[in-house]
Amino acid sequence: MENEKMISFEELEIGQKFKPHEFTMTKDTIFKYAEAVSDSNPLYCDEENGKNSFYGSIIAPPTSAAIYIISAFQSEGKIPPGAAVHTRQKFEFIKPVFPGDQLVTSVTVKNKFVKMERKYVFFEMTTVNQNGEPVVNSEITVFWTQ
Amino acid sequence: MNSRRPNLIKFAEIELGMELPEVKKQITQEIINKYAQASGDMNPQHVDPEFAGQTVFKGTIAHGLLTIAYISEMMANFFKDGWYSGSVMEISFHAPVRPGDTITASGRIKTKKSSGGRGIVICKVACTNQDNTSVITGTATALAEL
Repeated sequence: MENEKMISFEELEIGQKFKPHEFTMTKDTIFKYAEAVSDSNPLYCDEENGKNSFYGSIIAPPTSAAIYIISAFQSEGKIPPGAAVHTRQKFEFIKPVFPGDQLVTSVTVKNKFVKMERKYVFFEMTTVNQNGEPVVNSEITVFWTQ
Repeated sequence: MNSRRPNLIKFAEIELGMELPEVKKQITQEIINKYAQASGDMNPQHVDPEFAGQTVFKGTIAHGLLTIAYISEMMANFFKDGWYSGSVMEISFHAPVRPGDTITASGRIKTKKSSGGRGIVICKVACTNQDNTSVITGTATALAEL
């Protein structure tokens, strides 16, 4: 369940680990995401095509990782509205994500710093599937505007 | 997975400096709202013009992770199964993307090397707006068949 408490820059601690966030990828989520980014790749959108592919099924678009990564940030509390603007992002797509995969994302606060009077937070995230296999590693640096 | 082989581009056919076919997208508030719904990121900076008008951006902006989906689409178009796993994307965000912008994702082959029986191809990638301002720049690494 989402935590309604607001997270402030001051209370984030370097090394802090957020509560692991669980997310189940569904066909519906994949279809909606692909439509929202106007990507008609049949490997995401066409089940018949997915069946005949190397993967034997449709897969989630790699950048749909955004869906569970952004909600993983909210597992310890809400980020204030308009607070976090991305400045740098790294994704390592290790394995494809399939419909029905149960994903767990762990977020660690790797660093926080003030530069030119601006506050920045560097998060590192690892997402594993139901077999414990890493599927996506990611890093994100945000500019904390509040 | 089944017995089919992954659909990979041939390493030998990739030349340094080669340009990837571009992906062009028109951004509207409706697209931003749809992405917010699909990704679950309903931050008012993206979807509430009144709130967003009071922030440093003086208006709504697209989610950064919407823009990187266009880079991913371009990479998947070119590298096929060499993009969905074993790939990496590292991006810096430079300027906001606003409703009304036309975004072009582009890429160029920067480095190619072989490692562990696989071809590894590193591309310089960017998204620019209609004024030719870079909104994001970075690198994307995909696999190719040796």
